[in-house]
Amino acid sequence: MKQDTSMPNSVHQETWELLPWYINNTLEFSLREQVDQHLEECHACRKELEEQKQLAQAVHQADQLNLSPQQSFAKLMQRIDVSEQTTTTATSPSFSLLNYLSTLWGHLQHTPSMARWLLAAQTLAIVLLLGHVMLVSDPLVDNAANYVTLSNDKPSAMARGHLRVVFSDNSSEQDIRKLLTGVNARIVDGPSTSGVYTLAVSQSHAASREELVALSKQLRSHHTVQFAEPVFALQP
Amino acid sequence: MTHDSGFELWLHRDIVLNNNLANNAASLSTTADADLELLRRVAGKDRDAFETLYYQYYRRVVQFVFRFCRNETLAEEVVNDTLFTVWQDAARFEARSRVSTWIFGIAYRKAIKAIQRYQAPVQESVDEPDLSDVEQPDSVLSQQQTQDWLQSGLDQLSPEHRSVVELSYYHGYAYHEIAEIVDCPVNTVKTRMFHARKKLKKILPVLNDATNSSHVSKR
Repeated sequence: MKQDTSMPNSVHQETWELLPWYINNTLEFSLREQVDQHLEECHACRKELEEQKQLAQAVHQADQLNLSPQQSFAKLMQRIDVSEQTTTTATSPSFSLLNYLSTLWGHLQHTPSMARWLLAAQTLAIVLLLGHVMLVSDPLVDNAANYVTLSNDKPSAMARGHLRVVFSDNSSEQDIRKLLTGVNARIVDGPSTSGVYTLAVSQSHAASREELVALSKQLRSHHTVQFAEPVFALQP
Repeated sequence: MTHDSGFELWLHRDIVLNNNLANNAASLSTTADADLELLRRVAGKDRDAFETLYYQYYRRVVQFVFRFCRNETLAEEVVNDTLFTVWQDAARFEARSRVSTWIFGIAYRKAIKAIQRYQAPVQESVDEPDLSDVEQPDSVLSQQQTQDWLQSGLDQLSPEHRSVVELSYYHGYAYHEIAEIVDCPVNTVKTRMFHARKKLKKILPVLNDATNSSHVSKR
């Protein structure tokens, strides 16, 4: 006997619609009871329930994906670093100074005339002083130092970048030490919970972008390394 | 494989499925608080918390997106785009829904955009899927064959219809949560699921054959 699945029965139709969530156990109690009750008396819905369970079973068998979350996470953190460095630049001292002057001007407009001139003179002195400090100190400021983590004891040695590396599971400490000595690098942070290490290159000069890219390529070609990417601080 | 073991295997699979779905529902609720705590720490730019959250969601979100686009690289890109947004917007999360619903909602929107950007849109046929040219199975289907059949059925659906099937049957979401994830009314979720089921009817005889052959051989 063929049963019409679109029969004009609201409870039947509702039950029919709700079966997927009856199967995945997310129906609220009252609806679940209603479905249970209808299933007892409806052959078509019981048949549909069995079919949908088979479909759910098939969907539940996940594809075998070849995933590498460690590499993906390291890439994402690199993206986050770059994004946050950009944000830091957007709020650089020159912008802050403009905001400060703008605020001062607002205050000045609400002060007595004499006090206004005195404050103006004082502000001019402060501006000149700040300008002097910035001009003198600017060439010495290494922007990269803004992004050095607290765990790094020698920020200046970080120069303009470092590398994120994931070593393969079966590499020994000896292998890693040999590799790092060979490329003149040292571990400055890590491993993170996902096994990502941060390396700094021990060079007398600041490692250039090209040098870091070349080094990460060299590291990637080594059997102990699963992943290696340079992390660039912003160029001044 | 003996007939008995085939039958037992099916029974076992049925029980495992029910247990999995029940466990999914239970574990989803118990992890909700832990997720919320993690997200609060992420809002404070705690990188360790973010790493934990990343690993908790990576596989689930990749799986979800992969079923849309059948492209692992694209799926991984979408996951990183999603988690990047999570890192940036964690402080804006208002806890009106579960963290997982929020994250899947972001992933859904990114996946739809990625598909539009990289692939020709999936043309949903008005008629039921034509699977007549696919070889009919004459024995118990292997897991891979079942997956191939399922995929050929799912491929006939639009991403909107497919996602409702996936979110219900793979990820174990309630229909009101799916409505939040895909940003549509609850009734639309039910209607999409209804149409998806109708279209997938064509593959059910194949899935049936896979299981019935075990049942029949038992008798």
